Amino acid sequence: MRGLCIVAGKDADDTAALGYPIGMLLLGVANSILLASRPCRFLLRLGILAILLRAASTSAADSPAGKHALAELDFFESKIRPVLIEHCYSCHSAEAEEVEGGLLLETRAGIRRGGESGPTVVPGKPAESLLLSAIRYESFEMPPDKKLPPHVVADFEKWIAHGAVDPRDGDAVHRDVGIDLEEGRKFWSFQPPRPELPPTVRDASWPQTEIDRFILATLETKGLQPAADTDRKTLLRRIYYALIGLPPTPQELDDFEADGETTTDAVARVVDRLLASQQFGERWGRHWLDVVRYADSSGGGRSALFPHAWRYRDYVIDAFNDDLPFDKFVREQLAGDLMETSDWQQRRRRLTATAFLVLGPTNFELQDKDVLEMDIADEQVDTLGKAFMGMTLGCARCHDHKFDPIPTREYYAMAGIFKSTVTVQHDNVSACNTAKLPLSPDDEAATEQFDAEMAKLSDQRRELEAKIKDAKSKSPTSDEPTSSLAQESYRNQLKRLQSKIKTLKAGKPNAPIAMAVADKEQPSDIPLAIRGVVHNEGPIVPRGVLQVCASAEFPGIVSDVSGRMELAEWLTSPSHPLTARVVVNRVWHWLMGQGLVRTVDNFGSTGDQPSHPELLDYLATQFVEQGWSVKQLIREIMLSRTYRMSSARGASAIETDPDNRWLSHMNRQRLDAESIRDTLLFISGQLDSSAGGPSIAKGTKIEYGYVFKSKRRSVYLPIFRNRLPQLMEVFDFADPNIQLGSRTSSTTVPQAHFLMNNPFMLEVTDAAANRILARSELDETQRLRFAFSQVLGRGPSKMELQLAEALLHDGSDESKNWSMLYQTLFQSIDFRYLN
Amino acid sequence: MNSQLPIISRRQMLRSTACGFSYLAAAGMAQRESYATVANPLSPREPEFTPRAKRVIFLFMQGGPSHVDTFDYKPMLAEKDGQKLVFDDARVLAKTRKITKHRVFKSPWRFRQHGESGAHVSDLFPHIAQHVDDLCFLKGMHTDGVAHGPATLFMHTGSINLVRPSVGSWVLYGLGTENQNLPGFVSIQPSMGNGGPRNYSNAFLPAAFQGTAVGRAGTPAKDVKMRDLVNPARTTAEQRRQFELLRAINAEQIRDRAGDDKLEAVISSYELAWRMQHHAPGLFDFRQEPQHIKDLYGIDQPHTDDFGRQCLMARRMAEAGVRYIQVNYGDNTNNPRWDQHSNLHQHRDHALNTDQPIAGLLTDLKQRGLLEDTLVWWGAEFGRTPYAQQNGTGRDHNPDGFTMFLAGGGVKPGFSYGGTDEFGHHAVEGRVHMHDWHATLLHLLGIDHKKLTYTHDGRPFRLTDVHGRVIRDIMA
Repeated sequence: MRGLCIVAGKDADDTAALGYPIGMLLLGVANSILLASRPCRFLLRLGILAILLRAASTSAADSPAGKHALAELDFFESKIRPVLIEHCYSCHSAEAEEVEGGLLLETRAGIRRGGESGPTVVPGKPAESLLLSAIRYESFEMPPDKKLPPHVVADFEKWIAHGAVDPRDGDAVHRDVGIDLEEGRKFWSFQPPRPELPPTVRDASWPQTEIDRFILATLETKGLQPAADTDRKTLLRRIYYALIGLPPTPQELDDFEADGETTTDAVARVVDRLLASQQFGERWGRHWLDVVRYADSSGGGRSALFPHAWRYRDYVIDAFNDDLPFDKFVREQLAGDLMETSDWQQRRRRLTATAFLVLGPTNFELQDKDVLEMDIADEQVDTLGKAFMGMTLGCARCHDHKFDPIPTREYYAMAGIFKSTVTVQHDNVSACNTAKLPLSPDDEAATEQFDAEMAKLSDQRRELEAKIKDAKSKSPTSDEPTSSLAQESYRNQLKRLQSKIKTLKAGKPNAPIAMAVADKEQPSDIPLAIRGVVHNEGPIVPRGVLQVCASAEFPGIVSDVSGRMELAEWLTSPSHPLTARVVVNRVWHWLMGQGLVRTVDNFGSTGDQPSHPELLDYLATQFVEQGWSVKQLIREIMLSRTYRMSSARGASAIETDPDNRWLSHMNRQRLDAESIRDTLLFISGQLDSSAGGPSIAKGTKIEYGYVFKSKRRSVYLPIFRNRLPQLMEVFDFADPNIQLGSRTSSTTVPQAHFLMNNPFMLEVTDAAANRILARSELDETQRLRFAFSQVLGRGPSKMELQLAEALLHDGSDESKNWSMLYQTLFQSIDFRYLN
Repeated sequence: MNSQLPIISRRQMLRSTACGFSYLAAAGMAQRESYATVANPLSPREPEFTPRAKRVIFLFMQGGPSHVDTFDYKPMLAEKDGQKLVFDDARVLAKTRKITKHRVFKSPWRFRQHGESGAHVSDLFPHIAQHVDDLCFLKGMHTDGVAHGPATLFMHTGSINLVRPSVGSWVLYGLGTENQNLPGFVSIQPSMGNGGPRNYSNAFLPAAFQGTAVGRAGTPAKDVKMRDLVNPARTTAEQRRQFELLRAINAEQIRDRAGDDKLEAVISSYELAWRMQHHAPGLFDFRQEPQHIKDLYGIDQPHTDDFGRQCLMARRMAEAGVRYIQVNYGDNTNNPRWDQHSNLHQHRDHALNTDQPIAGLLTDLKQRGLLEDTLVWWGAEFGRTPYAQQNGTGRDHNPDGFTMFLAGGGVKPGFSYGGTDEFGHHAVEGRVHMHDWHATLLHLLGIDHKKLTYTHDGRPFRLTDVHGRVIRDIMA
């Protein structure tokens, strides 16, 4: 729920003495003794009073005011201090093993200042004193093991009401987490990107693009050599999976190898062709869906289906295929509903885009709806922070960010924007907000006509029903036969009418719905939630954005809007230090297997430093100048010589750069879950390549027990938060519950078991076997070459060929043997990795 | 990252595969232990301090059994039965911030004292009642979340809404596991509802620490098996032939890439998978269990067959060295099992189904000397209210006072800790929050809950977040 927060405590008494009257000094000492031994408490109390009496002037002690003060002091010593010592100090004093909540109670300063949740004791104001609500088990539950008896609680109330007289001097030593924004802005990622010029290199023959010069320059300073170019077949397999998530066919491999053009030209042609294909968006849209924790259900306790989520998924796929400028893409997702639009299609697209904010893993079952709304706003802030800025804003929910210059106030400044936004509709189990999408003029006309027709028929029905009722009420008294005749006739009319209504309803025009947000009617600033606890309200914080990103100007928010548009514009301002850097780094990561900043979702101080800061800035500034075009950026990286390097590691690279930070060779990347599944279906001839539309099978009420029958590309499978297709689950599909820009790549036993025994594997390998056996024009060796080429993107080695032949010649069931061979190839290392 | 499974020595593998098809001896493979285990995330690790327990069996009573009808005896309920009194009901409070009147509802079951400890147990649990001198009751439990989803996730992961690793994953991450041929964290027939897989998920911990679901709620325990352990289409001989081909092809493919850990890990994952395929099914094969043991668990008896089988599986897993075993008495509905909002009498069925199997498990663990270092935990996401829900025939959820019990694994036997108010509504003494219990559970396993952290998103996370107290008073 809240962050792991460890605040160091320090001896409180060591600074107590200087500059204080002797009585106070002695009290400080007495404090220490009190802490150490309880039995002598009473004697000490007398002693302290005696000291005080001596230290104070006699007249003052005799005066009524003086007597009053002494009585208060005595009250503290007899009723309050012993309780604090016995029940509180073990966790809330300098002697505690670990100070809880940053709260130190053994000095007056400490108890008044309080810990992370704010002032503990406000003299004279019991209602504002956290201490009191904590021992009443209202705000906190203190002491945690057992509630104090009511008379003790009453003592504390009395003590606070009477001014909380407290002789305990000295300063509670806290680690004060004041944030210095000026200092914070010096961190590399908060500095605006600089337009860098490519460096000069010693070996001018290697680089083919600007990118290559940045890479080579670093390698040269590190004493490393770039790896040789990889062979063409390996390169083509790499390009295919990177751009469309499917393998090249044996024919495409052969053609590419035989292509007489220079490699650069050949690559350019393939890249352009694939960038223009529908599959490109299906591959790259899925990357983005990881970043925005896309799912077709809410997860949480009682998981709700999101039957309209697919519209957002299709929006993302189309955005990549259309090369929608990335800044616009960001603005649409945050504030599409508020943007001006020129036509109904655009309005539809922009409304749909805001599902980004609605798709979170929300526990709609939470009974405290204030908490639910705040949780949603939290999730939105956290997701947008990581997705667009690479900032872990969630850390600042309960306290100032411990590592990055983000004060809690700014967290609530942003949360206020989302609390002013409608994302949820409340009920016992609440639901996500939706919007009716605008219609085409034809649909609109049809709908109007339908509505009018329906209204007319409904009126007629009401009239008839009234007449029937009327006739009925008359009949018992009037005893006229006409009355029952009339009834009969009305009933017949009603029947005809009802059947008309039914027919009309069957032809009801389509009324598409999308998950979407809207501004609340009365947007407002919200109070800071102390320690992240919603009902623990602190000061109201004006809505706004991160001050540390000073290079991008923020205009402020006028009172009658949520501020999402302003936030989106600020984020996509060309001078924003993070947005462009974060996205170009993501693209680099998706193509190269590792980002220039390896922690792709964390550009803060706990994240990774860029390996090639100049290259990152070069790419980011170019990206903005060239209109935020993702396709252009992909093309530039793929046409570099860097992208073309072999994944074989040189001896010096293994020695000096085992993590390949300086990119002396290509990273060997594992096929992700979708690529594995889509390839299995593709090679077995079963892949259904139809694009777009709903994913969840009709009639589905809940995700539990859902059977994934579809043979469509993986991006079109429903992504339930509590149920994933098994293959996706075992092969590290992105957990849709969390924002995740970089998937893990684990190697586990369940993966092996899946490939060895799962019925899906047997089904696809049987199909692949039958398919190749149907190719009667091929002999066995040709078939073997073809199968290796399909699965591994290359022909078999001599040894592999021998091994495979041995398998095929063992036993008589040819089709089973082929199925086993395909299965083994799918299990092999060279299928699982892109070299 | 988390791809470091034990790595078969390359030379060894080449020796056994490079000269074509040397026949694979499955038994021989299982014996061979010369794996480089340095990087295995699951290899057993020494706890920080001497543990009281080496493993955990958690008996999850999904839905929330009523403590005032089972172990928390409240004479006041009979005394005030039928009276409308003011109670600060958690659900009503969360929704309306109001405090309203509810009808006190006495327990339909009689309580008696048992054993030397004199613990009260209602007539719902005659078998468990025989074991009270081995049990340690926590009667001052309280937790977060008023509804099943949030509270269930909270009990399993320490968070009601955010995605966090489950207790079992943390334990596996902290201690590894003793038997590399079996999964280290197993959830037997988990519910698909109320968080479903998130309740045994590793969340951001490496995938090696995820729980392995064995079967799922709503299917007969008889048919339970682990996923993908058995090949439905190939004979054993064919599988061997195929496995040998795989070893040879992988050896060939890795030939020029010496020392690439990632690739060697793939090879080693197949070796492990092959071994597990030959060991794990034994867990579910009760043929070697004598009849009197099956009888002990109530196997083949109408009420107890299902849960009895689950409990026997748990014992077999504990014996085989599985670190964390969760046995689920649950289903996939929104009102699971013990969730009697109306017709409280249905508690009788759930008690019948679970009482003898649980007692059997305790007896069996004890007679094998396993109870000493196995921590048995019986509990649910919350308890129930001492008053009728909406003046009806059942009880609503009560997260602020309920009972769990423990046995073995270093807890005081014949002991009761904490208690609720005179109605059984709020825990008032010896209060143990679910975070506190998590801290205590880790402590019993030899782990300091404040030190077991994992860095994710640039900061350290732990099971107990910023909370949790170790309850030392319950330790033997």
